[in-house]
Amino acid sequence: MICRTRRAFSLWPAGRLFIAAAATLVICALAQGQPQQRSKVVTVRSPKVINSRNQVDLTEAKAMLAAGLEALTGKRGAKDAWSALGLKPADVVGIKINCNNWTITLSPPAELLQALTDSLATVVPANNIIVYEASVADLESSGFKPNSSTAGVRFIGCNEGAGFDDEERLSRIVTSTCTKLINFASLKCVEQGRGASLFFKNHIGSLVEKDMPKCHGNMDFLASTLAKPSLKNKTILNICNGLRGTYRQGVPWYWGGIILGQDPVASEWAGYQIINEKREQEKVAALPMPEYLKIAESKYGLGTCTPGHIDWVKIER
Amino acid sequence: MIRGRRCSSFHDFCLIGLALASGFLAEMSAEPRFQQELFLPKTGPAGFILAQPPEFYGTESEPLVDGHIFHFINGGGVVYLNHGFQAVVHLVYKNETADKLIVDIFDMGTAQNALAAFADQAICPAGFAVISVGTEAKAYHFEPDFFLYFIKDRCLIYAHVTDDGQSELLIDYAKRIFKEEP
Repeated sequence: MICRTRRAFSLWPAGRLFIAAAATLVICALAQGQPQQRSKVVTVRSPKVINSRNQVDLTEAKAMLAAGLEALTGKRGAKDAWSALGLKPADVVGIKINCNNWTITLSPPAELLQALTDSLATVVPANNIIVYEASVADLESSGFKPNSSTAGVRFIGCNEGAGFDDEERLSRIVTSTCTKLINFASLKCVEQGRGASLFFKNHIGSLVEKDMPKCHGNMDFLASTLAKPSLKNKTILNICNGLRGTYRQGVPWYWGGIILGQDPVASEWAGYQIINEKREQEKVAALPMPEYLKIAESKYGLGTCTPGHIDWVKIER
Repeated sequence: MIRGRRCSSFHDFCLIGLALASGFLAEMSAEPRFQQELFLPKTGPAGFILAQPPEFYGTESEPLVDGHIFHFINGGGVVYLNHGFQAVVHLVYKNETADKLIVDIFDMGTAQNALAAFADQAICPAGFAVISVGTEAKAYHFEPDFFLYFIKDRCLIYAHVTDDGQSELLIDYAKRIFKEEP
């Protein structure tokens, strides 16, 4: 020990130079690496999950979700995976679904939703899971029976009961009732300069009604939606139903997959890639990367849409 | 002038729809004035009944009883607004096996607007088959769905069955709608 110290002293001028050079290198590397916070997106596809009659296999949907959660978190088993995402047994989890029935129904299939709620129920009681949409009518139109009882998974509309938070201009389901959130979008293309309707637009249904139309033309407003504190801080997972999606407005295809990610920007970016891959196959011009994603990255720091910063894990079952 | 006429016709529009929901439309004698201005089918498709009351949506500035177009089709409504969208009535029918037959009648304000919407690929994308329902209709078969678009006067009409086994029935119903005297 003493000997090593003496030698260090004897080499001091050279050592100082070496340390200075090394420190410079480290600082440079860190500086270059500043924005390189990587985001992971997982896609899981299976030809067995849905058939050409739009019928979904529950067992396969569950297996896909399990594979996706494992790939995303590195944890085997639903309980550990949800724990890794921050879910605790006392949490109340809100799942914002997109009940979209015009023209081709893109609402989440009941089987895929069940796969998700069953998985969550390994951690929280079923009654602590709240599936919600803008209105009860939306839920009903997609075949989901409203349930605000104290038994089973709850299905509620923002237009009933909870009301809206004045400050965040969001449903109180989001701001007060729920402690964790899952953004469950659908793979939907709307075109006409508005690209796709994925994770950002899914939360239009969580907003006060007056603010909803702003999301269709105001890119900054749309980007800022997911920056609202309750949405930003409580969301533990973004998941997209792509079993059947649309690659043009009203034109569906069976992609047979789901997208999972914690970063909504990276997950949305992946959704665009999937739609554009299909558009390329069909010789339709690609959707440009929308302005709101760039704003969400640069102004609101919600994640990244820079391809080099995204680790995309693709699972084919 | 225009506004006054529109409000009046929309009021009538809603009255007709409510009458349709209660199944009395065929018996009632509607006022000729709004028969000229608006169109709603007098009867449903064979073997189907209305599953819910008709829904009526207007524009953001002039919503109808169920709200405005964004309540109905979210951001997809922008392209309709670009073509002069005024109002839509949304009819959902179901048969014994719970297959859905949906008819949406978009009042586009003028026949020219309806034609422009019909020609817009953001509404009626490429890849359709042309069939006749008394007029040219654009038909789409995306298993298990089958739907078509056609124009009647100033309305763009969308008709859809969720079971393509009912596609002939849908076409027959579209023919009936097109032929129906206002």
